[in-house]
Amino acid sequence: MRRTIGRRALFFGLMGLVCAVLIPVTPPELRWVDWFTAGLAAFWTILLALEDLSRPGPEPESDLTGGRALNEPQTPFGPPPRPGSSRPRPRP
Amino acid sequence: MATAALVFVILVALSFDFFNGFHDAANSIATVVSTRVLSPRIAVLWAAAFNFIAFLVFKTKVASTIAKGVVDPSVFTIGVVFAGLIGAIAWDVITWYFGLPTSSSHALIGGLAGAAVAKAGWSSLISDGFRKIAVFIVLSPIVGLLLAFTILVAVMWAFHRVRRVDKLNRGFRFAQLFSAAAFSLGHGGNDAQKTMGVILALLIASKHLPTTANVPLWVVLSAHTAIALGTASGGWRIVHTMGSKITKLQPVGGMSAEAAAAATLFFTAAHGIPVSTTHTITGAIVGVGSTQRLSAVRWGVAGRVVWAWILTIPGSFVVAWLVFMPFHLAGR
Repeated sequence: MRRTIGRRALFFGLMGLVCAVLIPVTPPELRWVDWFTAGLAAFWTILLALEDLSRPGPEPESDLTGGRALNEPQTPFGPPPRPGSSRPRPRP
Repeated sequence: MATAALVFVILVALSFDFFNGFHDAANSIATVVSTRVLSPRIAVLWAAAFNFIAFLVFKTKVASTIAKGVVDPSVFTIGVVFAGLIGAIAWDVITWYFGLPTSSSHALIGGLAGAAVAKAGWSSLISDGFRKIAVFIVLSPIVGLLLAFTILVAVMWAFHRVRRVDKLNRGFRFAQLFSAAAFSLGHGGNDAQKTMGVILALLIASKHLPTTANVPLWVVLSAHTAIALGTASGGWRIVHTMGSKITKLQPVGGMSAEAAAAATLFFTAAHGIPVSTTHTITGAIVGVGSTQRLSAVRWGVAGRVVWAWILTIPGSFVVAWLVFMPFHLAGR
């Protein structure tokens, strides 16, 4: 069982860091934008890291859609057979 | 003679605006076309209409920043503005040819800066104005990305128990019409104002207007008309990069990306910050892609876009500098 922080949490952490670095060079009247974006990035970093750490398994990077696109219809059937094969693929 | 030159450069500025619309039409309609909410033909007309009516919504703060906040207004002459426009147009044509969604806005700023430096040296640049623009070159795609991610996750949480997926998708497709309209409004409000700023600088430089003047109505209307016509003409090479190469979009993703980008553009236009609509929507599309997995984003394409961002201001700067310098040396 492996518990690590996924790339996505690190990616959002990096963005938060970039926003924090920009604070001193941003004109004072617009610094709140840096603070806001850094805070939002930190929020997502923490949530995604917690999600990664709370989920055991080899792939820490989670999928908020549960592995399917939102408009993909739910079906009780497995995927169609590959072109040229006579037998359907087993369901994962 | 001077009036003829002024009219000619105004026409070049309006051509730049037209090409800006043509180049950035992709930003307005890429998501709405790639999710098949509208056909390409209808989508460009939809975007062009909202590009045009943007003048009813936004003040002209971005135009003032371009005219008075980037380059010392006393340096502007008809020749400087002309060289700056040529630098920006040349850079736009190069990046359009290679299908790179770069920023016409930053090309314009780089071009004006290059021509101004060729005329009067580095001291002609206003460091505070450049600093603000430089910060938002980085910040605007990040804001777009974070907002798009947040909106999409919120929508998923709100609707994840709904099982009537087809009906839900129809709702998102309908909502995408409004988000695309909002983004086109932000695009028109932000990008048309850059041309207004150039024309305002020209009119001040040629003493047709005082330094404190606001943008005349005929300038506002002509700039919005030019960008709307450019958008209506479309830019299909870049639609392909924006709509499908960066990440695959569903209607809910397209809606979230456009809503996030529109919010960013509304904010920056209200604060007079000339940001790139291209940067903003690209960041938002990456934000949508990263709700699935980071691997859903095609980082090779996104990386090419980032390199084009980094090179835009220096590239158009050098072209404008090269255009203006021979005339400047010949005039000495």
